[in-house]
Amino acid sequence: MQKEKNSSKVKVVVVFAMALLLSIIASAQDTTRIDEVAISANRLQNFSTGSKVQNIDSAALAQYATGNLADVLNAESALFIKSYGMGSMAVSSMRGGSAGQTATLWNGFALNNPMYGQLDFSLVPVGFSDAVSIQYGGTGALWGSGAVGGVIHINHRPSFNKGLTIGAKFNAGSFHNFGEQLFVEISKKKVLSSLKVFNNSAQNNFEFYNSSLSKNPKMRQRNAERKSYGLLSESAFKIGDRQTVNIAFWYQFTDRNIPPTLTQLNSADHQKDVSYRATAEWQYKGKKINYFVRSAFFDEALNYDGMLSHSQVSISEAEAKYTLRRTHFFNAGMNSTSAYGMSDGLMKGYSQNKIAAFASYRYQSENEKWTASVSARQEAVNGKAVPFTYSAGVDVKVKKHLSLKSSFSKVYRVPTLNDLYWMPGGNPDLLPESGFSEDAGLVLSLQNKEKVDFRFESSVFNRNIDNWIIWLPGQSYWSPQNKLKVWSRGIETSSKLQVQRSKLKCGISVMTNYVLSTNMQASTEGDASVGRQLIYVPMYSGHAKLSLEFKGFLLSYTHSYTGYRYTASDNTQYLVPYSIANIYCSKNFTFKGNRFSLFAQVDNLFNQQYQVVLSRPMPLRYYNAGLTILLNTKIN
Amino acid sequence: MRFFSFYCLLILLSACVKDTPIVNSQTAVLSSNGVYIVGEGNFNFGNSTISYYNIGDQKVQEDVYRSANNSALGDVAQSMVLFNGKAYVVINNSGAIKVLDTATAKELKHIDGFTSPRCFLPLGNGKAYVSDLYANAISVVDLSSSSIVGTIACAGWTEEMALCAGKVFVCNLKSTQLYIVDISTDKLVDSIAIGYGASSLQEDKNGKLWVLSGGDQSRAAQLQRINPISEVVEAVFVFESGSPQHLKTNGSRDSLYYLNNGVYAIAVSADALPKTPMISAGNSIFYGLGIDPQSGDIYVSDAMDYVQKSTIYRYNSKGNLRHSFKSGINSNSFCFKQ
Repeated sequence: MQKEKNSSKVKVVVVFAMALLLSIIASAQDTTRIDEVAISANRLQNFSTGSKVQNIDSAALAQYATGNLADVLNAESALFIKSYGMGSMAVSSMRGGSAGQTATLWNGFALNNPMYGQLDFSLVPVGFSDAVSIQYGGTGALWGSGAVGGVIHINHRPSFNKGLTIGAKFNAGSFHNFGEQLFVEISKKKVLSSLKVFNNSAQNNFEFYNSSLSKNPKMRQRNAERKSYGLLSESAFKIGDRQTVNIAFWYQFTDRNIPPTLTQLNSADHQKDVSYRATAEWQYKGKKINYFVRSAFFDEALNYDGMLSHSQVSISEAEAKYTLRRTHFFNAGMNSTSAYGMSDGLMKGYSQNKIAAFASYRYQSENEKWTASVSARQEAVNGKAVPFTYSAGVDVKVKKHLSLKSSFSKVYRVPTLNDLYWMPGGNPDLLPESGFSEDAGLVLSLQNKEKVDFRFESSVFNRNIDNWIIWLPGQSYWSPQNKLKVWSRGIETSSKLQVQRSKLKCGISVMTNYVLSTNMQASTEGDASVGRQLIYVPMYSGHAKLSLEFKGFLLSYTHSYTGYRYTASDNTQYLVPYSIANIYCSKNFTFKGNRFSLFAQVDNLFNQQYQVVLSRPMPLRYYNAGLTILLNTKIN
Repeated sequence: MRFFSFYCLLILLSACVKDTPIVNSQTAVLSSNGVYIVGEGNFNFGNSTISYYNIGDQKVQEDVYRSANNSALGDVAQSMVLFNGKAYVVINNSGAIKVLDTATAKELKHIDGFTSPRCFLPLGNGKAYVSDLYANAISVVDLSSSSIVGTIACAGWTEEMALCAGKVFVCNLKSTQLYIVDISTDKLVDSIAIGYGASSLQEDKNGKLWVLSGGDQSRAAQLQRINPISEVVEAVFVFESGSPQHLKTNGSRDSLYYLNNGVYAIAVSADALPKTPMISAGNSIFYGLGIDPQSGDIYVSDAMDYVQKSTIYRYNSKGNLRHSFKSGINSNSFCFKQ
């Protein structure tokens, strides 16, 4: 155990040292030619035909810059974010799926923990990502295990030749929430290197109404303190005209107390999360052929009340893309992922080795009116093949303003290390969850001389998953079993209207989600969950956003609605719907190429009393304000 | 454009599907002859319940605590004991005991400050003992002041306790010992070597103590008969398989019952364990067991997938099904009021 730990630290240090060395070598040689590289998004950009992709760019992310990814997804996407409270864990349900059925990729590498299968979005600082893309629907053939409900891509977007930028961001908010972020970037013609550091602390001792007690008394949250700090170093450099190397290293430490539930007087629980993540990628862009080789090493430790879970994942991937006459696109690659997990619950260490081969083909018509793609993937876990996976999609531009899309994909999720080996109860005979996901949508987009911009997108989806894993009690301990069949279907809409009048820009956007996700198979005799909505999947949810921009001023109002969520599988217990309103305003100044920005926001404006998760109180109205400074100088 | 209107229509239609849950409301008036059924709910959900089943008209009143008190019972209600006309409900993850009026389920008072309480044993001298999962101690409670007045150190997970021959015998799920406490000094005075992982015990009509140990992966489960006066193990029955739990007895205390993937019954005079269950579990996993001391009726709960209401099966003393009904999530124990 101790040996494992040491070797992991050594590995991290080696990767980091390599990253530094390479960036020094690269900065030594400098020539010409500039082009933008969006790393690791090859398959997302080129072979996601027919699926709905939502891009949240850096401008939109800026509003959440002092928060975490859960805040962004909650306010901007169709995902349901299951938040256990302010500062606490937040996982997702995408199109009625489980938390493990949302895959999150950082620069193309899966962040889902190999032991739990999910990612805690409250541990992903927004300030550490340049762009977030959400791919809705199953894409198992492209991304492998876990890409069932959808995929979240967090990407670095290196931007060359920007000079030296030094930035700082400070914020202060209710409940002793303080945050500091520092940012340094050197961006030359062929070399880019940045370092981001953050430090955050909050008491989270908010007031709430306790609906579990008679007379609904007002109380103050206890044992909810959180402290977090981390650094992200990213480098990109070009070698000659055709090659690019990207390197990233992300370290983060979070220490938080776990507050009591509404029916507990006190809690002394606490959790520490420490993660080291290093990635490297080499790209070669030829006239017809592109090569990508990438590799990552993740080390994560979670300590809950002294119970330790420690995992290590190393991922290597190589792929090639070939373009023929601008109409035919081929892609093929291999991925090897080995995960090692060790915890008090597993009693000893276990590993899971996955190897996958994948290929895609896209055809784009000469007139660019339609495009279609097919993909396939074969994966083996510990030498045993999982079902062959394939997908197909089509995009058709029917009219100037109207396009239709449709896709289907086989999807799967392999059991996690805890599912397989937890002591006692782990079930080594578990099969992967698997099924089919289908999607159809339309996009209507109207422009009027750049003054009015309207976009409407709607999708219907359907997904049937077999062998859905649930933990059921056995005679003396719980054990996971492939018991459920889950049928999820629904309709999503997203409408966006933007009007520009001289210097005033006005935007309205509305998103609605209707999700039915029901269990179709009894796990025991007389099981009343058959035909019922899964717990923690709201049938109705949606949000609206109104924004006004004028001479560097931004004022935005968001309103979100989350409907009933059942907390019992027979739907006899539920949480009531809630509506949350937020206001955000900011003012940007530019002075001699340097940028300054002030912001203030009010969350839960109307003091809604609510719970996202049963017995976990959420704060009433609270505030946050801060400033950002970005100093920029050109360098040669 | 036709497509667009079709979509709009779909969206409007979908909005017609109701997500509003069905609400059952009821008021609590608890008959004189019935069964309290303790529903654990789910860990950290704070959704424990007490249901009341009227034996006469076979009607169930669910979550009587909430209707009587307009508040939630707590997180993981573990067990319940009727004593001196009051109901003592041990709420594990709320670290508390709630004392209720047995007729109305109204809360009279509560006792706080436990670590992870499991079972409550009144001693008859104004005091009670409370066993605990994590505290490595038994708490001594003064019933008149409703406060913890002392602790008795006892390493491991202490569970069911019995007052027998003037001494208290304590089950411990993390040891191979049955601990003995002197109630006059509130001190651990001795222990008896038994099987590993004892969780339940019963006194029979002959004044003998029966202790059921569930065992673990390497140690077999055992049922032992102990003389509480001489503190000697008089008989040992070793189980071939399984992890039996919930040792219960009937009103005349001449038969014992337990769950071991089915309901088993054994006479206190028997010299071997029964080979076949009295009530087979089939595909379900039985979660709780109770024997009506008056009629000998057997109550079994099936917790289903553990996130939905339990199904309660009521059998007569011969094991024939009389009635089945729904009760709170993870119903684990039965408390008979008569």
